[in-house]
Amino acid sequence: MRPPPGARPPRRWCRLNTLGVRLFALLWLALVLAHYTGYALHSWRESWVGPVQARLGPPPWSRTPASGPQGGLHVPRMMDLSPADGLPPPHGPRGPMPGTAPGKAPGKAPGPAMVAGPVAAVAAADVDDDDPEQWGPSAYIDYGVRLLVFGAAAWLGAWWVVRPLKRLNEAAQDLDQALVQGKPLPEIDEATGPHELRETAQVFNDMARRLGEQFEERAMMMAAVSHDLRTPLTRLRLRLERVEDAALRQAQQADIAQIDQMVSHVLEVLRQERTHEPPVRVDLSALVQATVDDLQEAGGDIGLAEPDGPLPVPAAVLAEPQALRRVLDNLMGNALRHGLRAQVSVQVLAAEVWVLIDDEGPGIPQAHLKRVFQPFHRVDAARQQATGGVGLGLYIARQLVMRQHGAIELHNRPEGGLRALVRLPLAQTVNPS
Amino acid sequence: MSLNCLLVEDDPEIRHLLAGYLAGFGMAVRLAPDARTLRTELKAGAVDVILLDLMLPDGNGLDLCREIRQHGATPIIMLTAQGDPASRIVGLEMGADDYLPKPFEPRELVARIHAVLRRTGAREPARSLAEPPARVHFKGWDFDRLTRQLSSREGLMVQLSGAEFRLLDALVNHAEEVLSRERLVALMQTPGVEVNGRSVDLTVSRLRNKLNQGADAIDLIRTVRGEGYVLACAVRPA
Repeated sequence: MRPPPGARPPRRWCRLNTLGVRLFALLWLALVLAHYTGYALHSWRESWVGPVQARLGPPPWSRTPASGPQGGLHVPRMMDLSPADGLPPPHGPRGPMPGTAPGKAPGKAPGPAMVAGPVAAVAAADVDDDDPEQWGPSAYIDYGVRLLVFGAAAWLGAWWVVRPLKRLNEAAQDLDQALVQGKPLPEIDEATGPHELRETAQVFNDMARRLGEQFEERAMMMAAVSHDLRTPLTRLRLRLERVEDAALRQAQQADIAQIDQMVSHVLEVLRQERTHEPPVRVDLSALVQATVDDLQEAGGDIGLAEPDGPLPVPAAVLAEPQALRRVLDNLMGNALRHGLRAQVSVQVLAAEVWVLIDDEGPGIPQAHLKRVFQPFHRVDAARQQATGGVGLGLYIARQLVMRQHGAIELHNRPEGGLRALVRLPLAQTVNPS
Repeated sequence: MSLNCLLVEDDPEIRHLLAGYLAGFGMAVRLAPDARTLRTELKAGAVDVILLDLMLPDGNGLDLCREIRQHGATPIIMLTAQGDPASRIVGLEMGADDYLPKPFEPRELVARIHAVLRRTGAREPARSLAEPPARVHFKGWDFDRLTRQLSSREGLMVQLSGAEFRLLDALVNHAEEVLSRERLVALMQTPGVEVNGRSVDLTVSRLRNKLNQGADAIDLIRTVRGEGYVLACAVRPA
């Protein structure tokens, strides 16, 4: 799922900032460092207790030239760590060594690889400076193997620790889908895995169950109430036919229509949460044209600006067609209700299609421009009552547009009136082959 | 001769109010509170149109609709409290001829009854049993009459307005047959909308624009001078 436009784009390395990579880096560094420090300490001890050691014979790994004069803590170079004593000293020609960067992390661990690279390079330089004869490829193979083994151990360790968390993550992602589409809820196995996870799994399963029940109950309750309201409304409407007073009849008719509209809106909120059409490539200009034509046929004062020329590409978007239609119906309906007259245009930009719906109404006070998208928000109670809205239309429209990876904006036009702008990403063109 | 209506509705008050209202328009209304009574009423005598509620105590209106369709071609208008686009499509798929969400304008119901009877009455007896296929295919286009969607071979969905849909529906039903403007006005008639020769011409040009996409675009809708319009390609069921 793409982030909504306007959200801060994730940084490039964020993809690597996973628990697994962190653990892997930590373990690998820790292993290398432990090894390194061990030898450092050993060498330090040797430089002080050298004579004792001399009597016992030199430690097999010590290859450092005597560091007596400098005193203090001797920090070994990488090659000091070599157990390569046992290896026969290389005699072959020392060509350019292919293994200069051992332990190149398998796959996705740039951190340790970057550590390993320079160290190996330093080691290579040292070889040339200090001990030309003693350090050959086998030493580097040795370093390489060691770094690789550390790496593999760290990778396994990280995988082993993070694997249970992945289960949790997958279940959480499934939960969202399950709630939205009414599928069976995901459940995490409460019997296996580490203790912490088993506890978390239990909590998660309980939570998911409760959430699912509430979601279900809410939908059923609202659907039942809304549905049951329509039967008495139908009765009322039929009874009205016996009312002689025309003015009274019309007023009541309007009331019934308003209640019915509220019911429809509430039902639609529930429906749009639950029903997802498969997205298809939709010709947006045809859709806008059809919506405008239908509103014109119903007597609305609405016009579509003809494009300056033929559009360079068909304004195709990948979207749910019914959802888009609802959005356009809603915005154009609003423009006609509050703005008397509406002018619609379609613009194709580099990667986006814009649908602009301009009206000639009073607009919306600046302070309300963002809040009108909240459910049940009212700009002005009196106006809302007169036009029969419930404050769900724009909320639904925005939910639907966001689901198509688009954005919806409202602006007060400088020349007066409101402009609704729907921005949708242009679909990739497909070769008709 | 008065119209015979069979009203299937479980709410007693709606049943009687609606029966009274329709009687005012010269219709003879028989009542059925549930599916069982509907079946016996259907056996009892011929009915011109069935008004069917979707939720009945002893059965689902959709299943009933399909059952009635299997036995005959009596027009069905569905009345339902679930007025969403999806259930409308399901209703039409099950063989309903029209679909009206509750609460409806009583006058609109009367208009729809007459419209449905005109449509089905105009059908030749041979064709009344075999409904035209819901999805047809013509010259690189798929046309779905239930969802009212037109999609190109490349999978681009082209939305039709109500008028364009009615025009294309008429043209597809009479493919390769010249339809005069007057004939199209009659075929495109629908309650609540005024259709005339000028609006037919406008709709034809709009629909041409939508069909004229792609590289090998040719005019599928041809003007026959002095006679009318014709859809100049073969239509086959998809």
